[in-house]
Amino acid sequence: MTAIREVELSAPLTPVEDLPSDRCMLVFRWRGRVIGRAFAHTEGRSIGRDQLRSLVASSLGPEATRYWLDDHLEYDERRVIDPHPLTATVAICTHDRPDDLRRALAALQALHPAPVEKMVVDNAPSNDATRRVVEEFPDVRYVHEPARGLNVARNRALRDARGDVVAFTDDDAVPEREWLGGLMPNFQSPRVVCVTGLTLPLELDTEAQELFEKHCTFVRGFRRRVFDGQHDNPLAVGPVGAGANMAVLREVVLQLGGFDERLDGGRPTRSGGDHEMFTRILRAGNRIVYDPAAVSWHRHRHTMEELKQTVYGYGVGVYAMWTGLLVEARELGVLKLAWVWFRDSQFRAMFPGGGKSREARALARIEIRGCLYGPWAWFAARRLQANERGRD
Amino acid sequence: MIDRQKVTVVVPTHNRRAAVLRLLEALAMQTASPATFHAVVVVDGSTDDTAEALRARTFPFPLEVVQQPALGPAAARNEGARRAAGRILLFLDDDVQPDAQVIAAHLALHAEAENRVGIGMLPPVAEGDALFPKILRFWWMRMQETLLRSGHRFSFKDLLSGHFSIARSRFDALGGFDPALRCHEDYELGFRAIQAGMDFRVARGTRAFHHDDTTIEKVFRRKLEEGMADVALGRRHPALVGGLPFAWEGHTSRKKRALIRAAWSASTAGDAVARSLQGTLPMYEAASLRFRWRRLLEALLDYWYWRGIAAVLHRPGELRALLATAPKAPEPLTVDLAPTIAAAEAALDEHRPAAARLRLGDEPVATIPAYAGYERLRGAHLRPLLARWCSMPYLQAAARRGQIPEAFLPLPRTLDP
Repeated sequence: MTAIREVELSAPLTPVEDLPSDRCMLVFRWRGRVIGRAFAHTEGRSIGRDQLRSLVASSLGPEATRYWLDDHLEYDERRVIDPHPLTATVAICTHDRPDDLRRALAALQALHPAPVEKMVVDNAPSNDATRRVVEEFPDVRYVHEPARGLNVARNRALRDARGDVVAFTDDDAVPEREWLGGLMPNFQSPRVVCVTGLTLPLELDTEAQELFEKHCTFVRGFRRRVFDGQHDNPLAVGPVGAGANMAVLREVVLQLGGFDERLDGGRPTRSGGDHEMFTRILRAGNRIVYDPAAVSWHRHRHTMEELKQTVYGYGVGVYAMWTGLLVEARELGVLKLAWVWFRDSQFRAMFPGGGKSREARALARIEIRGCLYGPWAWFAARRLQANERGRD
Repeated sequence: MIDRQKVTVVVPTHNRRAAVLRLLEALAMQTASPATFHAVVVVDGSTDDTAEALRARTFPFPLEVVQQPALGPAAARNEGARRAAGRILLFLDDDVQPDAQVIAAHLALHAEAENRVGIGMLPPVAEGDALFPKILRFWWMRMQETLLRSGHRFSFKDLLSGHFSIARSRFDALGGFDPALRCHEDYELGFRAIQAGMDFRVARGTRAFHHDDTTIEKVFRRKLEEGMADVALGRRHPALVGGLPFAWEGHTSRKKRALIRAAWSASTAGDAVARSLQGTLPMYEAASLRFRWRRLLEALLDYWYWRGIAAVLHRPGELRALLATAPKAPEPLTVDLAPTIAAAEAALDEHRPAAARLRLGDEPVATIPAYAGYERLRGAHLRPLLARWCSMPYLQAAARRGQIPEAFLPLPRTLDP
């Protein structure tokens, strides 16, 4: 296992002690803000001041200096002179995970600033366990969505929400207290339709969780980034973030057609629903901000079997989404992107000599298997949706 | 009788009957009482019966319709201002659609001080999913976004005739628009307003949606006109020469310099090549090569801008002579950041220097230049400049003085923008 410890850099450094194992992930903060992280191998299950100092020096990027500077100057680049008030609904789309959900809802109670509304969309539940958990939190609204699919549930949240912004968090994530304060100011800039945040691992207790963090991490760096279809390829949205920590402007996203209900969990395509929305937002000429000020902690899957399923699902989702773009939007750029990804990354990752561990190579092969199935999954999902609509 | 304290909305229009009706209908929906404003529409050589259509309608506010032969929008605005009864002039272009707060917002802005130019937001409405409307929206929003940032340093280019307000007395004192200019006449007025020390402010809580129906062909023609207009601006105001795009010629890439030479010395062939390249834009779009499409479009825009320059200045030597008329940069004020940043801000607010030499105690930091056509420095400009424009030299000076905590040392060599 890998222990997770936090270090506040505005206070004098003190040794990190009593680690349960010889591996540790350190999260560095400056006056509460997460500004970087490091992985450490320890001897004697503690990290002394000197080792801490060198870890800080080797892992903090130039952006960390930027945090100090902005803090020192009391400068916030997101500040505008004529802000318009925006309200937020926090929505959790869930499917049969009552225990995780309870932890997530407890975290929502602490949010400051608080949202105007908290909502759980119970997606095609097999029992009433989710409903009973929600009833423990009187200020959380329960919405039952019988049609299965994560994107179906997301659309339900968009349609039912009261807030101007819908901030999505997963049932297996724990947003920090200032999470909304990190997301919301970004919507003051024109054309910003979506904001994503920094997602750190809640625990790295099992090998599967460590592998996930190493090879599929949600961390997209510690620097705020603005994505714009005029500068960034709208088809390559990996660096933007993920649906576990994203907020969208409700009305604009509904005008864009909402989330594609053929994609993501509960459908043959398994994932890709968030990324397809990022692509659609950028193609329409809007912008997305990745702001690491919005921090959430995600519990990765425990078992290797779940990890393999997840990685396979990512492969399926990416190729399913690209298939859709190729078929429906005639985005020929997809072909080049798929080729470059395969040539520069996937091909090498599969074989020894590419510098990857045995487990990583196995995961790479699983992901490629997912990719190969992706296009079929997209057509299957399209057929399934047509059949469902025919029945209604 | 109209209250002398209030607003006159001046709208020049040319052959856009439906658009100007849309604008007047938006004025009929104001939160401000109709008794606080009136409108003057100056019909500038229209042939679509705009004047008749307007006179056939009644609005809750007084409307005066003036007809003139086609003299251009600058002359039309001056004519509208001449007939104004209000103390404040609010200029709106015929293709904008203001929200319900526009009158109230500009009234509030001028109620606080007389010496202000109210800069209005003009969010674009350019329908369509094709690359051209998308880049049009992008250009507009990029321009508008900087206005909203706190600590923005205003320039002559921030005054857009589509949506701005000014006290009538100040407009008259400036001498109004220059009717000889058919393009960038708003920049020219903006420059004179900046020179006169007027205070540019964004009108808060209001927007006028700009229905931009331009086309690629119109944008190319417009670029040619902008090149010609910029030469006229530079000739009229030597102090502005350094702030016009042609002044940056020496700092551009080799490819761009080749394009500039073509505009000057091989314009017949250059025009033919430009037109045929323009014909390939749809092919790039069909092949979803959006970045190549954009690079080609921008190269063509550059070409037509320089064709406009070359149409007026026949030889590169004439441009060099024009650039040589730029006055010497003023001496910067030295400002020490060491006591407190707030004290440095107060010093800038007190002296309003055109340029400032920043120091941190004995350590030099940077010199904020007096950009041609930009407002004098204010305290509010300082923090954004330190945080983004000269962050590295400021950090280095702070590090030499031991102000930076150990965790952030040594400093990185560069910071991402």
